[in-house]
Amino acid sequence: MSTLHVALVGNPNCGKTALFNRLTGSREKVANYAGVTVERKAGTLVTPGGKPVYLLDLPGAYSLASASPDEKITRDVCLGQVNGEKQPDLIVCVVDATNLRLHLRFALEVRELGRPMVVVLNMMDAAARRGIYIDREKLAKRLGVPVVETVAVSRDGIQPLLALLDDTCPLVHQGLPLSRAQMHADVTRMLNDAVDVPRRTAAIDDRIDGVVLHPLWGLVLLAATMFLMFQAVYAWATPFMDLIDAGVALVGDWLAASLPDGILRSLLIDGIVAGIGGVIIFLPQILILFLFILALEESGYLPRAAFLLDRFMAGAGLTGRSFIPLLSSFACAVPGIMATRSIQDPRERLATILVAPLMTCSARLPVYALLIAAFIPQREVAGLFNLQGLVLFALYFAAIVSAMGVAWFMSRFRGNAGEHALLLELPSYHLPDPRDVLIGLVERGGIFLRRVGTIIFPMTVILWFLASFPAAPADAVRPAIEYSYAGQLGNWLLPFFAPLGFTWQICIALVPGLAAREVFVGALATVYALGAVDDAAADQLTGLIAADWSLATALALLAWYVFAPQCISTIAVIRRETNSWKMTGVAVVYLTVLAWLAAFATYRVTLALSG
Amino acid sequence: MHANAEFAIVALLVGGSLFWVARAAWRGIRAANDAAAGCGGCKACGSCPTAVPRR
Repeated sequence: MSTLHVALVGNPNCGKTALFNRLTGSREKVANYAGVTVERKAGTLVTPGGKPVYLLDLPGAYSLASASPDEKITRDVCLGQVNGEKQPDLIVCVVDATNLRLHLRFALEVRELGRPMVVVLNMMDAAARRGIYIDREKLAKRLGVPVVETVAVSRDGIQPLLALLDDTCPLVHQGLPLSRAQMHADVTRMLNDAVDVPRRTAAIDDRIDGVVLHPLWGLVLLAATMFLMFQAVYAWATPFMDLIDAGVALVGDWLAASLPDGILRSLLIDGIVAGIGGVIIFLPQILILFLFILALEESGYLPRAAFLLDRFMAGAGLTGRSFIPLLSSFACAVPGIMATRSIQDPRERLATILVAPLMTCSARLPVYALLIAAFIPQREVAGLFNLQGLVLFALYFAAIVSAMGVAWFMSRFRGNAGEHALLLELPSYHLPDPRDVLIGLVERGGIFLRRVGTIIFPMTVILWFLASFPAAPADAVRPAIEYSYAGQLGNWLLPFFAPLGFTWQICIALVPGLAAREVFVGALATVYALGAVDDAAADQLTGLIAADWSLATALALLAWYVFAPQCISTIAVIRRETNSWKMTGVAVVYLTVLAWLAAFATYRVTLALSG
Repeated sequence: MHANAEFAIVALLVGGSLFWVARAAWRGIRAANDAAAGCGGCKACGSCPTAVPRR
């Protein structure tokens, strides 16, 4: 049986990716805001009737006439104009059943392509809850193409679509091309004929929006939500972190008891266990942070946050369109920078790319958590807040303020970009689906552990080698590690970093930290484990750095990590997305200079204040 | 454990790690230089929005 090529198209946030995941069993990222899919994704499935299907999930588009890079992908694939991509046999146009006025207009545009198509009324459960009644047969007759109902978030919700895929391909709609005005009139007629939308249901969203989008209370709510998130990162994670810490210590003790003294023992205990154990302990904090982010994504709150912040972003020369890429950068700057493809204005896109690395990615969390645990006492402030959580909140806040400051500075040089008003679709609120949140958490946990296995593990092994060889001379007076290759490298870098209060151990750890920021923590653990006089001293990195560094050094290092371009993947993706080594150089230089100056100022001010 | 076996295991781990890091660096350089390639779907970034590489 020949494979049926099917393309999923639709407005952003109509549930295409959820439908794709449900049909193919994939685990692509799903969120309740527009612009999550920036490239097309592919998967396969076999229908209940045994028909093999190749399914493409295309980026959401508001129109096929648009010029933004991601919407162009959608149009080109539908028209068979992408090299190596077969023109789809069938276009499945997904529409949000709760927002037909907007989505049906796009369905009419797709129909104009003259390809076999079917319209899928997705989110029928939400429509039913709101009391929206849709006469499917009447709508199909009006559209001239088959219409099926789905609920992508439910296992049985895709059966009508699967049954249709088993049938013969739907016929192509025959008709004259429509002007924009005719399309608009057609949609209005269809809604009047086939859809009954009671006003009372939307009123619930309106009431919530009355608070959430309020110019003052909305901002208070946003700040409180972020604040709660960072408090929870510290308040909830401790027991799980203690458990991991005990497990790592157990493995270390067992290895120490089982292996004789020698290089293998040193590699396993001082290198691998110390390095990986030092990083893996932060998994609970990362998962708690993402639990909040995923729940907010799913609820429909985040586009409201973009709407609220549009005014402030405009002051910095950006618009709310930059919000989603910048928000994605809190997970990782790489997908954040890729998400800038949905920004049409090239100047705004470039500005967003250049400030995206300033957003606090999850790889910074282990570094922040380590330094905060070592230098900030765990005590309550005003009998309510955790001081460590407050400091973490301040670091995230500092990153956002810095990004806006840099964007504002750049806007001074790029001239008048003209008016680019933000048009943003505000989806309905809904409770986060536990399944999607769980999938997101499992994925985040898997990504973190994969990074531990594929980046941190090899970097730790290499660092152990560099920190162990050559051995110290017989008449050595300093610790052996200082005579090693890594020790020499640390001392060689020291003149550049000494004004910031950094030690040679920090200088060593900064180098492998370029591969990924969290490697810094593992590298530091290895360096201190090898430099320790006994195994007991190597157990607790937090205690060691608290004893070895001054508060000024720790704060300077935190300031360094707020700004520094300490991630090769980010640099590579800036190069790819800007297609310019010059702009990549600009990004690296400005971030490094900013990091050095911020760390220097922090170190000097802290020294002056602490006398 | 025999000293030679110990040395062989350590050499294997260090050599393998060096090879792995060099390979990742080479792939990164190639991807950075290929602006038309789009995302390679390596998933190393942490939240890759692409399931398969673009052709």
